[in-house]
Amino acid sequence: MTSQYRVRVLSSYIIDDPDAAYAHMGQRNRWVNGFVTSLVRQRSGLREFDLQFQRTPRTQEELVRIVDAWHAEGVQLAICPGTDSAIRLAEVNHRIPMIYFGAHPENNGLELVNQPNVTGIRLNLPLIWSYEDNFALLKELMPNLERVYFALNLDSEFAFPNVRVMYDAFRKQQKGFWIDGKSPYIGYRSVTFLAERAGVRYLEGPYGPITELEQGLREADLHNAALVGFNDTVLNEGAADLLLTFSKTHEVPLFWVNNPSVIERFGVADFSSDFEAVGRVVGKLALDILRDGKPINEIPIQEDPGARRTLNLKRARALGLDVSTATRNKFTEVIE
Amino acid sequence: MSDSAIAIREKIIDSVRKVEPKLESVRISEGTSLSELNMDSLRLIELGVMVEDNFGQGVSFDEWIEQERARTDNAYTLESLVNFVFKATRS
Repeated sequence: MTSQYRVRVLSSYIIDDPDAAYAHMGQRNRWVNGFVTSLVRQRSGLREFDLQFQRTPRTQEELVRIVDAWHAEGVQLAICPGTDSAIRLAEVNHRIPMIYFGAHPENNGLELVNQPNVTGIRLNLPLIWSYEDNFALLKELMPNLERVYFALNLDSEFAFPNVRVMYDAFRKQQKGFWIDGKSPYIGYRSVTFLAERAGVRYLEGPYGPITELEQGLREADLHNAALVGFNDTVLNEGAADLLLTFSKTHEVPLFWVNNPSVIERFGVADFSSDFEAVGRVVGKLALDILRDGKPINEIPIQEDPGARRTLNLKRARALGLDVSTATRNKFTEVIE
Repeated sequence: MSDSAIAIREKIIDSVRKVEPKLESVRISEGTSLSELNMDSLRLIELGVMVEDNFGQGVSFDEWIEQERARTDNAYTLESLVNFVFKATRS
């Protein structure tokens, strides 16, 4: 057999607990399906690959050891689902080509692709990418919505340095957990504009230890409120479960971005990139590099190929939300 | 088995062997289960793509997997897949 392409997938989203709501997010979002489909359609296949999946380790020291091992094995390509893993890997890997797919809210962290061995697909975070067909759906599902709470994990790479500066300054003021959208210390002002257009108040809650998130949730005014989570929260052990449990216990609608498997439990709706389409792009880029010899530094960052919105109609109805047919039709998938 | 079903069977076996070259010399019969062939989840995905590409949009490999998941015995056999594809291509 001709030698295989040695490829490693490094992901923070390989979860130990098989019963966790997000344990199978890779399977659920089908990026791997897209990747394999792309290989087949380009007349390649898994038989040409030595493809292994590894969980991103907690420390950079462990990551250095992994990269050293990859060099020893002759690994030719790394694939990173998620900006967090990509940023961490790029810090210690300057030679092995890397393809990642991940979000860069308000373009934070995009300098990553200036590194010559890195390219990727920039994911849009659909809920906060645009108003019509995305953020506006929160108000369509909850006409009485008055405030949205976004929890943000300080222990992930999504707490970009410039955003963290604002959070640190806010904390020094000791004005509570939640940062109001109109505050000069808000991390993501674009979300404030979306919220204002919807006529709702936006509150951002950066947390470190899970106890901070617990405290923050206790401070929230839950009347006509919604919670929103992102996958940085999945990276904090227990935090996603906390939001799910809180949502269930207090009957506060929970929305998510880029993780329909969370929504299948007790969430109302998820706003995702079309990860199967993302996987197809990753497959094409992988063969461009490995088979066709295209230098990775000639491959520009790719745009998000599309979105998928998932509605958990059962949960919505359990919360007393009256979902019109028109609103329902705006979702790619409806779970009944 | 009809000629059409035989042709479907041969195409599926051919796809299985393309996905997993180690199975080149392994006898695959109607009763063989995909799980016996030690095909991992990634290779099942690839087989699914090849089956759908070979037999057209009316065939949903995911639907077959869901059907088999509900079985209590004799799940994921070649015979079941052949029958599934045969019915899907005739509807």
